Amino acid sequence: MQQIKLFFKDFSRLIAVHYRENWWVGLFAIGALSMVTIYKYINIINIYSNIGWNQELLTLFNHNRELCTALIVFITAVYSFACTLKTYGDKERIHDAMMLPASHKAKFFAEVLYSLVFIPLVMFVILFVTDTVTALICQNSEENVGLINADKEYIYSLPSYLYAILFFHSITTLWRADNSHIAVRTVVIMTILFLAFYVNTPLTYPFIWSDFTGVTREGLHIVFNMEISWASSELGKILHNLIYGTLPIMLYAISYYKHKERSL
Amino acid sequence: MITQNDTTPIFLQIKRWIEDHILRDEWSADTQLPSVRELAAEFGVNPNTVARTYERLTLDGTVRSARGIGFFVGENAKEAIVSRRREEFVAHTLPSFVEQMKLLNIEPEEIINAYNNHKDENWK
Amino acid sequence: MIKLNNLSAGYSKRHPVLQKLQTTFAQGNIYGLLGANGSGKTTLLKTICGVLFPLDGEISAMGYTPQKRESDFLKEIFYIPDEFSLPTLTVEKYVDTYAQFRPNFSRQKFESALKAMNFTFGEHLHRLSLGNRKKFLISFALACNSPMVIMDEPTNGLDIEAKRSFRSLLASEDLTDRLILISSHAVTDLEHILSAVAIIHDGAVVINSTIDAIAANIAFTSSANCNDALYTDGLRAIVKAEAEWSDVDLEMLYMAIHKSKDFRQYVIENFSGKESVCNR
Repeated sequence: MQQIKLFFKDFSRLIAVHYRENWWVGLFAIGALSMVTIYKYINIINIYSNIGWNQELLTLFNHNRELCTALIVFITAVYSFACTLKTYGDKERIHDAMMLPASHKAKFFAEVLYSLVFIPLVMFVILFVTDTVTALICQNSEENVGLINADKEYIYSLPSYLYAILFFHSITTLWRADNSHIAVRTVVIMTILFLAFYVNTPLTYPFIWSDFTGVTREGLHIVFNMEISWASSELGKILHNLIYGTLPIMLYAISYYKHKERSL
Repeated sequence: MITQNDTTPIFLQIKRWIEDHILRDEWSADTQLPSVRELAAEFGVNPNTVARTYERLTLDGTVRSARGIGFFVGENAKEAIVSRRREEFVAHTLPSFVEQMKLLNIEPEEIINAYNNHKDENWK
Repeated sequence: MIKLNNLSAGYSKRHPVLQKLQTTFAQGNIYGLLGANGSGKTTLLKTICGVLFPLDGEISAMGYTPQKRESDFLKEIFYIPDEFSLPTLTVEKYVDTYAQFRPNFSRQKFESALKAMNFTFGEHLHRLSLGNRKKFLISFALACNSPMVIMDEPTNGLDIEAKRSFRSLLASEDLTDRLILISSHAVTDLEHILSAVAIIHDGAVVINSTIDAIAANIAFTSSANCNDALYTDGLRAIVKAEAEWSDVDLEMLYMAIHKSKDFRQYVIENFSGKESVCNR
């Protein structure tokens, strides 16, 4: 019991250290991801509800949705990168978090939480709230069906955006003046992974595409169709989830390595 | 006070400083002296140095220590200092002074005159 | 308190900066660590703190292995690097955030140290000048009251008055079961405040001894007076100690060790003890 109390004390202090200085990064990241969610929901609401949204605005959103969200993700990523780099990449600040008197577990979990769990956690809270609000707006059962579909959609398509943010954010925790080659390697690997999942439809999974629709501007889209068996479709889903699943584990492992083994 | 140019060991310089205070009647018998650390902080030196000073002063009888309380100016400290400095003067300063006199051909009369001219000035 | 056992340290295994160090730093002392640029002073300090891992051999600091970076160990030590920057926080916010990690932190000691060194309040920490940054971190470090305080070139960037205050602050520290280890080029800044000195030469600790022990063995005097000097630079000389105490001239000692192989040999032979010398 004593150990657990100590852990939480250390842990909360470390989180405070991160956020005292960089509170606005977290805020900005959450803001960006909220916008992503809202854009997605506006489109869904338009399709499924009776409320007449401004048609032109929605068309604009529709066509520029991907672009806008990509832009916001990119800006947030660069911003997070730049200001965390200020702490982690700078060899004059390098001692800070690593050498603070706190237990390894606390440091490690603070790192993990901050990078991997906190932002998506807040995001899912926002999504849950937006869900409830949307449910209130759309009353009849047909729309509820639409909402269930919408459910699936955000689970499938948002992770790639989330991971983009997390990916950049976590890289900066690895970046060291004399260990940049590790960061570069990780960046390359994760960029490849990210690009593989960037274009999302509910049925996108690696290596086997179905209904690939890349919409860049009005009237231009590519439809990629492939005959697939049930087996390969299931395999695709498994691979998809596996890769998404191992991403945090990889970051987890790297974070652990950083705290226990890393020498400056 | 503590100069780099003075080749006397620091702890003796501090000893002199304390003795001067006593000689000038600024610290009379049974006055409590600053603690080792206080004095060390004052001069920016390691407390060991001040401890050595106090040790020497205690040996001389100029100062006495009360365990757990501190250091105090001893009884007859002033007289003791004067007598010791006298001995030092006679043993060391005088002979080298006479050496210099011989070297520079200074006559004793010049010394006596100088003494008479200055003996009534205030001791700085 | 800090024991080095056959320690090799540095940044690359092929070219360790320090090799096979075998020595101890004892509590109750303010150590000066002297050595040429690149001689490994910073490397040694960082290895003691756990910032750097040993390449070979062991370090034990208060019974802990620094490399493990255990929370309990980190609480007992405070490291002030030579170059560092501070976060974008105010003094207040910094203390609120970081002092929590230090169980023995004294707010009052922190403030009085800052005032003693004439720190300019009002700016955000990341905007402070070098001198003010040093004053800030030195005050914070001393206020943490940790048993081991490790400073790398603390006086670098301090003005004359701040240096005096710094000396006074060190002199007022209660060193029971504590030690302060200062690496510096500025011998004259620190000469009289040190109670022990360790000199690094050629990847080894040539001497690690208290000032008292050094003064008991050798004396520093004008070269006119002696024929059998252990070392002389023309003006001054190092001789075997006589009855009278002579203050240790650290600059001379340092120069003698660096310039004279014979003197190094003499030192190695004569100063092996508990706070001992490297076997080189």
